Amino acid sequence: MAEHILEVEDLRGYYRGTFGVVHAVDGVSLTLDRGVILGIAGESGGGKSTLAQLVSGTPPPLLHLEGGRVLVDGIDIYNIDSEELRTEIKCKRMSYVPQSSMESLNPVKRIRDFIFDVVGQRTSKRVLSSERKKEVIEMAANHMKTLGLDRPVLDRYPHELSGGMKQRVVIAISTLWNPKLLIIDEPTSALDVTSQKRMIESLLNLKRARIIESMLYISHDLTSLRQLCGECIIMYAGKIAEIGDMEGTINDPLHPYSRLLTAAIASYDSKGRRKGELKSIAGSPPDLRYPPAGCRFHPRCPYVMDICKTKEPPMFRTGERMGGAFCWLLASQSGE
Amino acid sequence: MIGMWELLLRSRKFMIGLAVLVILILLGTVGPFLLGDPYYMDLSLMGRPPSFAHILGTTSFGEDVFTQLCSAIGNSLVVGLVAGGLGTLIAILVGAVGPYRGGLADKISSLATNLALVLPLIPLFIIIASVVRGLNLVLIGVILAVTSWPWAARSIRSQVLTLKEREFVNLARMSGQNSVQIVVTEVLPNMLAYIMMVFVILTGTSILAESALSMIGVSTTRTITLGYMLYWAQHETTVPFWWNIWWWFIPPGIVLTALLTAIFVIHAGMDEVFNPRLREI
Amino acid sequence: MEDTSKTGNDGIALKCEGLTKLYTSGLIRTKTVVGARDVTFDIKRGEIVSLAGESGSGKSTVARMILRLIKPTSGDIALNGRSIYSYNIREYYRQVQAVFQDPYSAFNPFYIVDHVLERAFGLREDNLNRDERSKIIRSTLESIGLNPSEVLGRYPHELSGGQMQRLLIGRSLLIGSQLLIADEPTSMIDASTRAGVLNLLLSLKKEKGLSVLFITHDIGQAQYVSERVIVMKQGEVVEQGPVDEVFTRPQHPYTKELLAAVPTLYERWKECS
Ligand SMILES: Nc1ncnc2c1ncn2[C@@H]1O[C@H](COP(=O)(O)OP(=O)(O)OP(=O)(O)O)[C@@H](O)[C@H]1O
Ligand code: SF4
Ligand SMILES: [Mg+2]
Repeated sequence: MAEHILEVEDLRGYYRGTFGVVHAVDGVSLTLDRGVILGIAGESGGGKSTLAQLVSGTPPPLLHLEGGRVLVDGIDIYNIDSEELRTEIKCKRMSYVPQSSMESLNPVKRIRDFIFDVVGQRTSKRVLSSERKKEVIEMAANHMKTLGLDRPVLDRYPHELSGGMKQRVVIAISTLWNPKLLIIDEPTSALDVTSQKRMIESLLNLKRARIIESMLYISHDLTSLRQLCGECIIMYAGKIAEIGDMEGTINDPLHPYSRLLTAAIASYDSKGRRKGELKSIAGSPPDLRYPPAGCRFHPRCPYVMDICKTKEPPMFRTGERMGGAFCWLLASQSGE
Repeated sequence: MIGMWELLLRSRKFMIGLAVLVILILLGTVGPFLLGDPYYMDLSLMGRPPSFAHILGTTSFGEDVFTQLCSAIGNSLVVGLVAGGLGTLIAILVGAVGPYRGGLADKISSLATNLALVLPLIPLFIIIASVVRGLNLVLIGVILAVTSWPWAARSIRSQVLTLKEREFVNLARMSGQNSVQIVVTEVLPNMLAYIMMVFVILTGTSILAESALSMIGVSTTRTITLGYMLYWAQHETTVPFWWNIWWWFIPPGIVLTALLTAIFVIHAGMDEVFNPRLREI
Repeated sequence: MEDTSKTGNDGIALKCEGLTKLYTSGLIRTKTVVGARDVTFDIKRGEIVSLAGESGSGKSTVARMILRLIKPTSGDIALNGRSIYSYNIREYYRQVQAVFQDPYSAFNPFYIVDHVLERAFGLREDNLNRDERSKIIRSTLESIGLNPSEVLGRYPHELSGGQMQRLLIGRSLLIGSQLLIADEPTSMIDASTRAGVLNLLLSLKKEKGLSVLFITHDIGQAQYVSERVIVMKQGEVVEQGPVDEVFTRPQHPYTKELLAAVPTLYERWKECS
C-alpha cells in the first residue's frame, strides 16, 4: 500500500482545439494523505474542474495531458492501459463525481433501473441476475441511507427528486464499490443553504461510515470548503497559489490572491450584521491561452514587484505552518 | 458538438462500417450502369458456375448473378433509405409534436405510438401487399416506414421532453422565439446525432424486413432486391438440389449480412461516441 | 411609452397579488402539489428585493410565473400597472429578463456561446449592424469581468461554470431590461467575481434604475444588495420586510432555521466539526 492515496506531480493539462491552447492546469503538485479531506478553491475558470478531470483519469476529448504524473494508491494512472484503469482504479480505488453530474441520471428510468444499468456497464454484463440485482440494491440502499436518502427514492424518477437528492443519488451510485478516494466537483454550488448543509453532512457521514477514506473536494465556495476540509489549496489561473491547512489558510492567508478572496466573502458580527463592503479583485482573470509571465497573479496584484513580472515564484513556507504560498513577498520572510 | 464529429471519425467501428457500406453503395450505384440489364436471360447459359465471363455464374434462367447482385444492392438500399428516411420523419413529427403542443395533441400522439407499437408488422404487411396492386420499391419503402416508426417516435419523445426542460429553451422563449422556432433551432439540432442513429437503424431494419418479406414472396416479385434473389434461388432451380447452384444464393446472403453488419457497426460506433453518459459515472 | 408608464403610477415596477400555482399530475388519480400559494409582494422601480427560501419553497415557481414561462393558477401580476399578459411577448421580454441558476443547462450545447448573445439583439429595437453588435457585446462582457476574446466563439462545454454564468448576466444587460429576475445568479462563481456581480447589480440599480428580484439563499448576499426580503417556505410567504430587520430579528422559526444554515467562513457548524 502506497503511503499517500493520491500524489500529483507537476501535472499539466492543456485544451487544444480551434480556439488555441488553453493552459488550464499548468504544473500542479499535491499529495493527499489517507483519511484527509482536501479542498480546492479558487476563481472560476481557474482550472479546478480540469484538475479534477485529469486526476480522475477522465479528461474530456480536447484536454490533453502534457506532462506530470498522477499516482492513485501508488499506481501511475496514465501509465497503465485503459482497461486496467477502468476495472482496477476507477470505482474501486477512486470515484469521480463531476460538476453538475445530476444530469447524468437517465430521465426516463427509475433510480433502481438506472443503477442496474450502471452496474451492468461497469461489470460488462448487459443483464444482471436477480440475486445480483438484490445484492446491488441492498448496497445502494445502504449507501443512500448513509447519505440521508430513504429507500423509496429507489423507485422514483429523477424529476421527482430535488437537486440535492439527485446529487446524493449520484454520489451513492459513484461510491457503490467503496472507493478509497472520492473526487467531487462542486456538489453544493447548485443547492440552497439547507441542502448544502445536508450535502456536507452526508459527505462527512460517507467518510465516517468508511465508505470512502479520503476526499478531494472542489468548490469555488470557500465557506463550504471550510465546513468540510482539513487541508486546502487555493488555485489561480491554472496554478496553485497557496496550500495549507484549512484553519491557517482562512485565518491567515499568505498569498495576496487568497487574502483578496477571503476579503470578498461576507462576514457577520455577532448580531448577524455584515461587516464592510464586498470588494472584488480589480481586473479580470488572465486568458489562459496567453498566461502572463512570471507570477500569474501579477497583473492584478496590489503588491506586485519587478521580479514578479518575469520570474515564477516557487513555494515559500513560513514558520510552523503546513504548506506555503507561491509568492515572492514571502521570500524575505522565509529567508530562502 | 464539433468534438463529437471528430471523435466519430476516430472511432474504428464507425469507420470500418462506413468503409464496407461505401463499397456496397458503389457496387449498387455504379455497378448497374456498367453491367447492363440485370433481367437479360441468356437461355444458352442456364445455371453455369462462376467463370471469367460471369464471375458469379448465372441463374437457372441464364441471368448473370453479379449483374443481378449489383442492382439488388442498389434496390435494397433504395427500399431501406426510403423507409428509413420517411420513418425517421414520421417519428420526429409524432415524437416532437406531443411534448410541444401538449394537451390533446400529446395524448393523441402517445396513443397512436403505443397502438402502432403493438401492431403485428408482418401480417399487416401481407395484407397490404395483397391489396395494393403494382407494388414497387418506393411503395414498399413507404409501407415499411409506416409500420416501423413507433419505437423511434417514443424515444424521440422522451428526448424532446428532457431537452425541453433545459433552461436554454426558456432562454430562447425569452428572446422572443415561438414554439416552432424553438423546436427547429434549439431542440432538434441537439438531437441530430440521435436522429442519425434512428435513421441508420430504421434503414437497416427495413432492408432486413424487405428481404424477409421477399423471401416468403410477399414483397415485390418483379424488382430485384437481395430478398428477391434469395427467393428465386430457392424456388426456381432446374437442378434437383438447390444447393447445387450455390453461386446464386450465397452471394446475396453474404452481401445482406455484410450490409446489415456494416449498418449495425456504424450504429454501435455512433452509440459509443454519442452516449458516453453511463460510462463515466 | 415607457416614460408615460413610469410616471403613470406609484413607482411600482412589478406587483404580484395572490399569486398561486398548483401543479397537478397524473391522469386518473390526480395529485396536486402547491408550487406557490397566495404570494403577494411588489418591487418598486430601482429597488432590489430578495426572495429567500430553500429549494422547493416556490421561489423559482414565482420567478417562472413572472417570466411568463408558466401560467398562474390564480392571482395577478402587473408590470408598470398593466397585467403582464396584456403585453405583446417581445415587448414584455424587452422589459423583463432573467438570469438562471444553472449555467450548464442555459446554453444550448449545439451552438457557440455567441448564439445566445446574438439572439438577445432580436429583442432590441435598434437595428445594429454586425460591428456595432460585436462592439456592444465586447464592452458588456468586459464590464462583468470577462475577457471577450477568451469566451466568444467557444462552445459552452469549453468554458467554466462561472464563465457561463457571467455570460448569461451579460445577455440580460445587452437587452437592457428594466426588471431582472435573478435566480441565484452567483451560485457558480467565486467570492471575488461574485462581489463584482453584486456590485454591478447595485450600480445598475443606481445608474439605470434597474429593478431586481434577487433570488438567493445566502443572507449575506441578500443583505448586501437588497432593501427588502421575502422569505418563502413550501410555497407560502412566511416573512417579509426590510432586510436588516428580518435578518437581525427574524420572527418566523423558519427564517431562523435558514439563518442558522448559512455557512460562514470563520465558524464551523456544530454538527460538522
Ligand atoms: N473542453 C474545453 N475546451 C477548451 N477550454 C476549456 C474546456 N473546458 C474548460 N476550458 C477552459 O479551461 C479553463 C479552466 O476551466 P475549469 O472548468 O477547469 O475551471 P474551474 O476552476 O472549474 O471553474 P468554475 O469554478 O467556474 O467551474 C477555463 O479558462 C475554461 O474556459
Ligand atoms: S509573486 Fe508578486 S505578483 Fe505574485 S502574488 Fe506575490 S507579490 Fe503578487
Ligand atoms: Mg468547475
